[in-house]
Amino acid sequence: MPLFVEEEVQFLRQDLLTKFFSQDIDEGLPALLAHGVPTGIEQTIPAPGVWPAVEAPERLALELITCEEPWGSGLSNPKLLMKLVQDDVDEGFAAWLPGGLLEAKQLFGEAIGAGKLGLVKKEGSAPRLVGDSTVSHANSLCRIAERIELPSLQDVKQFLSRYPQSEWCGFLLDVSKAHKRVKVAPKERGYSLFAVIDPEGSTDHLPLSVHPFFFVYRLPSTCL
Amino acid sequence: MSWKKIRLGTEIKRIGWDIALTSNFRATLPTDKKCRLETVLGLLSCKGRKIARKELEKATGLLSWFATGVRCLRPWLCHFISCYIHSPKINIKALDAKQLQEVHGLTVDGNISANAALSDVRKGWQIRASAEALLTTTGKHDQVWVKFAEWEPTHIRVTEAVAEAASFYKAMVQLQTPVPLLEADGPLTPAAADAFADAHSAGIFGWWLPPNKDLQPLNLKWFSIQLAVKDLPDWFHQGKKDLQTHICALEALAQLVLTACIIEDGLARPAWAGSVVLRQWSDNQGKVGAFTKNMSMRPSFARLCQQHGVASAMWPVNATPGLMPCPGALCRIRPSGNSWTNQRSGHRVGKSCLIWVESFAPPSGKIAQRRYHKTVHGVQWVECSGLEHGVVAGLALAG
Repeated sequence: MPLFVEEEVQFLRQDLLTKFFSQDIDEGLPALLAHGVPTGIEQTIPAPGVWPAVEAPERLALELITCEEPWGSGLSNPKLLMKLVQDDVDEGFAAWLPGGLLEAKQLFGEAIGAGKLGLVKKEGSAPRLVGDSTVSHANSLCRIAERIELPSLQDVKQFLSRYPQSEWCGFLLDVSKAHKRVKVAPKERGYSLFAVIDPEGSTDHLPLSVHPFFFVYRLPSTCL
Repeated sequence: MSWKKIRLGTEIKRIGWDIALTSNFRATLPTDKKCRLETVLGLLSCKGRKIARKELEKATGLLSWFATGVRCLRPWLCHFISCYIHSPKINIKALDAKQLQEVHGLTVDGNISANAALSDVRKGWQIRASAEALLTTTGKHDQVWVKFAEWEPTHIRVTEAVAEAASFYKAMVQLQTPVPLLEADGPLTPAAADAFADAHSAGIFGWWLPPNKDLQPLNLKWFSIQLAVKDLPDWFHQGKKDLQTHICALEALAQLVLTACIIEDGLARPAWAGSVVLRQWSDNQGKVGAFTKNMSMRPSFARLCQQHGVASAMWPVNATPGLMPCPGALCRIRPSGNSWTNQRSGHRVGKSCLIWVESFAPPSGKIAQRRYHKTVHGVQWVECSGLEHGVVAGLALAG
């Protein structure tokens, strides 16, 4: 039985977004998360003051491209790739575009880019689906005016040293597939397209999910 | 939620470390990381061994993570980075006339622009010496030896410096000494150090107030050391006799000597603290930048950072540098009489120091709080509260 019912989850989510961020330096974040966050491709994401601000580089003279097939790791195992993609679709992280690129252009106009999916297999772990948006130039076109820093042991030292006489208890919390749960701004979702080669040649149509992280479209196996 | 990853307690694993939040706040290297480091360092401890460049880069990344936790070990990372960034692989090929002609045709600004068809000279290689200069050296069958530098080879040979650093790191990893997580600011200690250098001579100078002493002139201690090229070891000047080019390293040396003096003088350390943070101001941005990341790629500076690392581990002290708000702000003084600002000799400083100390003594006896003030007549001022005339808490040896 789940720990919370859906209404309680919604309440907690709203409570966290309003109260937790009410005195946060990044006060615009709750609204952005609710609407969908920008990718930084169309406009530079400004620094809200959480991380050190940097001067964003000038936009590179690159065009977005649409790749027609996955990476070799995906091509060599199309059934596994299809299964993992379908798993993401079932969880609401992805959505099929039955009409392919044509449909994508109708939805997003010229603001589209298709990267490549691939499979990563590490010893002792289940294979993972990875999406490469560097190859479509989407990643290179993202501009963020701040430098995100990862914590180190020095940060732990500095924090604990402020309260040397206190008693502490630690807890670790991890959100599974967190990056896929972040809603992207509706008009910028076309930058996260991926093509898969359907070995069965089937053309099942699946309903679009509410806010998918990425879109997938099928290409017939003759494209191999 | 990833339920299997939830943890609650006083001992957790985070950012790769086993962190204990008990009465002795400590971080320990986990066993799996220790094994990985030992394996990698074992390979790198053999001088001359051939290793894939990607493996060396991965190993450097892992060591960099480890040295972020054990900060005093960071200065030795420069040897690993130098191995694959600064040290190309040298390829010497014997080329006949046709092959040489082809290589000449492919050379653009000293670099090979495409793979040669007649030989195994590859794109991206750099000609290290002109073929004409090497014509005096001939191989068999009318061939010429040509030296190429390959900056991104697939494999690299472990250098002596890397092997030594790897052995050192391996010994440190095997100790698996816990990293203390509590630091305390040291007692407020007015102190300053500076260096000067010109083409022929250099000097370092510093002063400090010993612990539990009133801020009175007679209580201050100082050091003043004049240096010539002959006084410095080969690894410091590396044949560059113009000492001005070593000013960053000299500044670091001055700060290291000052740190040693302050600690030897009885730096207080609370019983619960693992190490004491000693914050030092410096007006040299290069020095501050290198000390902030606790690493420098310059050989002389790297050695001084390593000495600092040894000192940090022994006492233990975490010397954290900060940059003064403007260059030279710490070390300019009111030019009353102007007897100071042009001092360049360590010997003359001794006498002048007494003059300066008298004007520094605040009538109220309060410890001076340094604050940046403004530029007046091209001289930067630092105003100290509790003093009558805005006397700067520092000294410059150079104008």
